[in-house]
Amino acid sequence: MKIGILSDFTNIYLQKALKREFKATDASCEIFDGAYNSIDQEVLDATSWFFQKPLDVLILFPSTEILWRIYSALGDVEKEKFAEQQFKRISLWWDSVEKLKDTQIIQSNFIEKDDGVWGRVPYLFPQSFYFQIRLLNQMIEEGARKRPNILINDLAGLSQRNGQFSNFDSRLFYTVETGFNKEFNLAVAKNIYELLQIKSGKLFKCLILDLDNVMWGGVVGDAGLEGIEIGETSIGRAYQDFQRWVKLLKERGIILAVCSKNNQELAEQPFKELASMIVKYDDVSVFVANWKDKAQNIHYIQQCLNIDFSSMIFLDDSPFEREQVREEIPTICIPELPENVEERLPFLMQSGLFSTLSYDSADKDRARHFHAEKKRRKSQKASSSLDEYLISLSMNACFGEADEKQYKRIAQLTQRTNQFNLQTIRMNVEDIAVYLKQPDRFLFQVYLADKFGDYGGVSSIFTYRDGDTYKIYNWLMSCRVFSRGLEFFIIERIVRHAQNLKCKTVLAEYKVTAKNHILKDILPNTGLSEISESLYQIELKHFKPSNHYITENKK
Amino acid sequence: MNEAGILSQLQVIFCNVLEDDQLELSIEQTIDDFEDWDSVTHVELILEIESNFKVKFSALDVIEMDNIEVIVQQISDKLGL
Repeated sequence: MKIGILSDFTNIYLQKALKREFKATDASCEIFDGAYNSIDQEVLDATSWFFQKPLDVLILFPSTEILWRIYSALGDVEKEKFAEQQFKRISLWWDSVEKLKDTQIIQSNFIEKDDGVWGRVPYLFPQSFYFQIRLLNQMIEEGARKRPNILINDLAGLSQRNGQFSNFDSRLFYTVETGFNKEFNLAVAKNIYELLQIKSGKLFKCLILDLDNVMWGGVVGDAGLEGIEIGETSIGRAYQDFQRWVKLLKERGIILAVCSKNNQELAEQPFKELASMIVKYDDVSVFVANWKDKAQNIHYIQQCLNIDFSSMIFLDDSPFEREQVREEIPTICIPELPENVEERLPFLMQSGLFSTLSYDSADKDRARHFHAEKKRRKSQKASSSLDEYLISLSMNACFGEADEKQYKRIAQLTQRTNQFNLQTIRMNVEDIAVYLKQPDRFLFQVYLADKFGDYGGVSSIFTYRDGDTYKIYNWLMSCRVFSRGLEFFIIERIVRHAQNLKCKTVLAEYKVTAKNHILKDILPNTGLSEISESLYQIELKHFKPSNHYITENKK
Repeated sequence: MNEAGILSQLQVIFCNVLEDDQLELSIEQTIDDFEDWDSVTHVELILEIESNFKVKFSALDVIEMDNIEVIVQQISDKLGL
């Protein structure tokens, strides 16, 4: 039997499974595959390969996931006509293959996935994806009934049956007359509870987004515009789909805000310059990127928008940030975002967070209104009990001279760190060994841990003694541990070390690059004062340590 | 289970998926050492490893697991060894 498959996904595993199925009954089959993701082109082209050689079966297999990407790019009016449009598209396929008289056509329908943009009640809104995909399946069925050469591969039904199988316990049904198994019972109860929550008016209006490793893969401050993952890499596509979903929410009236520990200019760059970003700068109503703690910035966002904390959702990949904001602002909703990006969208889509019972143009314009506000307000200070929070973290750090085993990690830090990097000197393991062979060189490595876990080696300091001056040759710190006072802890140790060597001053040279300007603010806070362009100094007899909450762990 | 234990189970999985009984696995091999280890069989290998060791990998893990050393490392990490 000769079988052709046209799909918009990699169907090689399906082919293998099909072959196995045929083999089991001793029938042989030969499978032919169309070009990747080009159903329309191939079906509509009268000279295509399957018109040349007679196939016994032709399978037309579009997928829900790709369909959703098409849908997500449409405007509101087009969304309401999505099923109709897609049915027209599929009808054209059917018209085109009709002339294959001896070929059985198998048309797949669509798994009826909901994208969660309308919470638990997508049926109320004709523009929702769930509404449209169910309509499309009905249209496909109705259309296929009138065409005897077409059979439907009922994926929607199949996926439902699979679910039924795992939700239903027939043993229970025939003993105590309740068919739901334990998990499904809980899920039903949760659904009813959530429906009632919508009735009582608990609505979310604003989505606050972290940037690095939420909107794109990687850290823009370190990796740069070209280094972040968004778009045509496997992980980049996962971030892109996440952005599609965020954009859908925005189009349905959810206000978007950004809250990121970043340099403002750097953080805005991807939104303004990368075509692969689905969410654009103008989609964001309040854009906050700085080095203050996030709770403080969310207070600021709240003041700009003037809506309740309880109507805000904060998405951040770091458990540290989530916990800090949760402690400071208990009423804000902070989902436990899965660590792996590919699990996040399914998690959020089924979360049911965005239920609403009504929707009108005022909702839709809300985001626009707030956007105008954005330009008027600029950074205001909000008070926060950051100190209390830092204390509650029970941070401990280990400061010591590095040994050879640590060179690899230190080399990594010199390669990857761009923001907290005094000199931006890249080194490999050999360079480090060479550096330390010179007299009076010291290399320190700092480890940090807190109640959330161990961050490993997060900072390296290259130093040397030059007479009675103690020089910091290079200093690196991973951006994962910014804003915790670790730099104060380190400077204290450096000063102590310099005192032991009977030095009088500590001197550091700061080489400004496009990415390390945060140091301009950080260095003076540590006690290093600027004595001339790019030169910073501490006079040891005048040194006053800055306050921090890190205890030393001597291991 | 130690590295050798993992390796010997991997050996069976690789033989089955790559359909080669003669295949001998060692820690320093990479995807380039196997003619039949391509993007398609890669996924099959991963799925077999997951069901054999009862572990689950993330998308990033799957991308990085293109050599035996990393595969063994990933498995023992996931098993908490």
